[in-house]
Amino acid sequence: MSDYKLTPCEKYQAEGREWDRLVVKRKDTTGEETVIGHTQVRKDGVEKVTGTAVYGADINFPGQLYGVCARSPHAHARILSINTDKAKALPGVVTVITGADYPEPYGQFIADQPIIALDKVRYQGEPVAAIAAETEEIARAAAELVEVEYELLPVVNDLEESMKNETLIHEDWSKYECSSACFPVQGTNIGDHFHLCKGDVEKGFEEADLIVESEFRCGQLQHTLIETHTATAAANPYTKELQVWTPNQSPFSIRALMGKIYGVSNEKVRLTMTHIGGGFGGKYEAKCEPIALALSLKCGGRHVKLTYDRHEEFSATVCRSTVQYYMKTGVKKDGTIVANQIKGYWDAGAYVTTNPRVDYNAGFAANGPYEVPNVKIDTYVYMTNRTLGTAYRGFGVTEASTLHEHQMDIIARKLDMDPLELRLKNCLHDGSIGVTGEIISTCAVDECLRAAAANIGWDKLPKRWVDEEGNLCGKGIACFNKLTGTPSTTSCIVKMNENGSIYILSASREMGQGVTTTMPQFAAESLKIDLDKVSVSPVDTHQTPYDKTTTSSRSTFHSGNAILQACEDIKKQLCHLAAIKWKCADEDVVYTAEGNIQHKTDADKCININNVGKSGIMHEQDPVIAIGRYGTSDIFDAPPVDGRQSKRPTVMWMIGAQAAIVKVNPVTGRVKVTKIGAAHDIGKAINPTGCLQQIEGSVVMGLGHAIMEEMIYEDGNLRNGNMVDYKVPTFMDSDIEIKSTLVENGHPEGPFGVKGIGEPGLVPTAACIANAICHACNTDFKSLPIKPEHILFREEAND
Amino acid sequence: MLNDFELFMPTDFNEACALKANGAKPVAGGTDVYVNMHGGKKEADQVVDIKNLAELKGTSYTAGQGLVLGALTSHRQIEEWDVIKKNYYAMFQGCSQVGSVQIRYRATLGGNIMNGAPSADSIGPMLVHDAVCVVKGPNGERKIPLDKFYTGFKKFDIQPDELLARIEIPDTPANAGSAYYKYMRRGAMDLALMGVSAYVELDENDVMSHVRIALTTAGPTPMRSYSAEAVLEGQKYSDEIIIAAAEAVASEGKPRSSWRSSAEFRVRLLHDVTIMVLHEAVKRAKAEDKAQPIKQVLYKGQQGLEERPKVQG
Repeated sequence: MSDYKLTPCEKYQAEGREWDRLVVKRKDTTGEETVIGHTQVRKDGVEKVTGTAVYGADINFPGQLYGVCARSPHAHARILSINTDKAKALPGVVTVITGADYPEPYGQFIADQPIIALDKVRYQGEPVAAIAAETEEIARAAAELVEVEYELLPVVNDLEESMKNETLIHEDWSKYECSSACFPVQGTNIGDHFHLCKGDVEKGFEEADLIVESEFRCGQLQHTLIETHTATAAANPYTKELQVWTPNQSPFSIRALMGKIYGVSNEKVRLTMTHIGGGFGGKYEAKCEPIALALSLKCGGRHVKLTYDRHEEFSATVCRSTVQYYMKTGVKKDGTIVANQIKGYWDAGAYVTTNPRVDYNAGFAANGPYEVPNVKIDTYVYMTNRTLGTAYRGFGVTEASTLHEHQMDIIARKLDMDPLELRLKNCLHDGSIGVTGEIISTCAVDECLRAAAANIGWDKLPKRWVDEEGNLCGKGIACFNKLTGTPSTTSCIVKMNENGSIYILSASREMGQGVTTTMPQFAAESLKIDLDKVSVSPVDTHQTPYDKTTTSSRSTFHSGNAILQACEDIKKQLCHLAAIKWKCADEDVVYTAEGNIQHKTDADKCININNVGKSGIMHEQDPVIAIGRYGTSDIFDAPPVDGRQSKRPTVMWMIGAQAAIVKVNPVTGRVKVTKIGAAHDIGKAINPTGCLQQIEGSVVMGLGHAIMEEMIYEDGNLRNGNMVDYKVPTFMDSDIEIKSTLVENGHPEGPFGVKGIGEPGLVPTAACIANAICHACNTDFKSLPIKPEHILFREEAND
Repeated sequence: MLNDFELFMPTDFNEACALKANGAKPVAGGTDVYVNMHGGKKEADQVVDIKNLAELKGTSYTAGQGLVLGALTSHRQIEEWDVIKKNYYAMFQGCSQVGSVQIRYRATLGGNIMNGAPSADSIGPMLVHDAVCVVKGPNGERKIPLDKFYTGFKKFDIQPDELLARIEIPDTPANAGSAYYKYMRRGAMDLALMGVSAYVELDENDVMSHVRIALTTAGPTPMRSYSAEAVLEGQKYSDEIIIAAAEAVASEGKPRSSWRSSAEFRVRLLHDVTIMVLHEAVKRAKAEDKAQPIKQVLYKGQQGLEERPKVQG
């Protein structure tokens, strides 16, 4: 701990910030940066707070048509016939399409999903027809006129029913095109299987003094994006040029998917991105895009706008899957964990979508950031007649963290150990052997745990106590490690405008995480150009270079590397132009650390980067434009499916911990989270306030997951698919005292050492709140959310 | 998306009555009607906006007589009016917890009554404050006590050509106190999972009179709990008598089990919250400054309290 240099919160107060927050600085960065590491005003701030930012539903074209889906009221039924005659006859209706028009199924991992239901419907709200009409009113009226004859099938409501494999959601996996990263089991409802094996768990259990078994379930969640899904498409039926305006997180994967669905080469598919009104993984999948395109193709290429309302958003877009976990741990008397066995079952809903990736990411995280010699993990994606599970901030790792941290607290109780002490005893350090056999590096679990605990005053608090008002109080702590998707690749173009300003073309999507502020910071820091001279272009797949996706907390890390590479080239190009002007050799000109284009021997020949536009060196010369590229295939050691052992499963592990104090009213069962102490190993805080905002926003989100949010189904019917009955925390629930520590444990391959912070803030939140509630109530609650009725009718632990 | 409808905005009261009699849906703040329509519910082909009717406007308080509240009185007006906090605290608690500030500026008391939701937050407090509904039509006015105004789920003692014009609420003596507790799953923007309102007058010997208790989301309409009132009427304030009243409430309330919550949970809350609310009303009756919140504590008889662990520290 001696190499810590604390930067006190006065630094923030000096910047006009009054929060009591602390940044822990490590030795890895020079501390001489002028832009990186300093709080910057968000580049997207003004247009968002003034209401001028253009979101998906703000896109309108003269003469556009409006799309609407006719949807299945049934969760599971065979479609016997569809009659669209009445809908087509309604004046103002231009086209009505059904599954038969575009029968090819699609899917990123397995092509199991039709654009519009074909032979059967598999969830309530699945599209059975789509209409394009002159007005939205007409389109909605026409949707009511679509007549579908159904033969009802038994509804698979939940995991338990799915696991019986009596009713199959997909009768024959083998007829679908399946990628090498998806493992369905023929003749079952299993859409994917993940298996990890390190050491020998049976041997480990034999060596253990104590075996602890527990189970935990995380409920199904909606992303509740402020902006519902929307797309506006124009598809030229003659040239097969397709264009979609959409607020999507993954323009290039959607481009490839659209190309595949419509048999069109990638370069003919153009995705033009609008601002995103909330992503969180919910806008990773293609939802409105393929349907809007299909409608436009049938309407002579007229623009078709398709926007889902809130009810459709709840019942017929995407969600976070329910997961049921079982965990068995072998532990020595002194708290040393010798074996972990985990089984997990995801309720993925009706189609596989991104669940194999959720399964994969969660699989690598399910053991937690602990050094355990024997680990066996088997998790399964099961299909049910529910809405479709997908990525949700944390990509499964949030749920995995809730599991292993719940287990750690039970172990601590049984061993009569402090939960923090047990974690510190087992956590990974640099040089530890990770769950894949990897030698761990740049790992600050220990520091994060200590800092998170200190931020709530852990040491001075008992495990549980009763306050003056009679509330049951408790503290809880949780930590995690999460990988980022590897391998992946990104590219950017950095170009200098005629006036010397910089434009970055990158497909990393701004969705609130601040990437359009951090990317310019890298360029500004590298070139020493004023930050307000650097901006990020809107994203358009016809113009913006390739980036895999904006998920997995990868953007600042990957795009940052690409931008730094491009900026080095920009420096060379500028020196070259100066050499031409000064009539000297290129080698005589250097780009200094201060951002000066400087003649080596003639001190008078010097152009500061901020004056380069006026300097004349660019006048009628080769334009200054550079590309930056970054990919991780070279460092990636692909984890084989027979046990997922790998020397380098990911380019970057994200690490963090949070601790919570809660008070529980014993009469009403209501929970108040009073304090959260967070500590995240962010490598380097590029925009410190941005990092803190990511954490604080996550904490409020995680509060909802811990005690409020769940999608409630009864016999295939979503009961609470609206913003009144699906309880998202309000501002009145958010007055939590949050203290965050940013641990700067630089990543050797990260630009300026950075690691991701987009998802990590959320990962341990529900887990630490749940643990605190369990301590306050002396009860092992086995599922989230923990609601007042669970608290009032609890059974206290008695060991 | 709103479906098409014909909108009338009359300034003449009788015209509005005629439109309503003809099937038009009256709208004041629109926080229920338009929200329902956006949610896909077809309310009516015709909507009559009653915001411009003078007969429905105005709020006044006369000492010794009480409140006269036009049906268009907004929840925000009630929330921000010092008289309400001083003399009708339960109404402050009810109205200030409806939706959000924005909704409370639009939503009217008349609308809250006429929407007829069992979870209406202003109704329980108005019931315990003995509110009277004044309905008006072409044939004049009728006065109906609020507890008689509901005849069934979303059904009222009102003729098709009548509108709710105003609400009259008697003044409260210095020895009175009231309280409302709204049980929500989150801190704002929520419907009452259940709620209890109470009004009590207390003499110098702590004897309770004019006791009125009302339950929210405990049956098809907001309802009085007459049996619990009878337990307390004329009795001296004590933990035991409050517990007896809570038991009466728990057996009189008829909450249903649904995906929102189990009946078991609601009954338990009814019992424990009644204890809380009655103590609060009594404390307020005794308080010199009745406009202040009463700090919530745990009371004898609440089930959660019995299960409280003994460990400390």
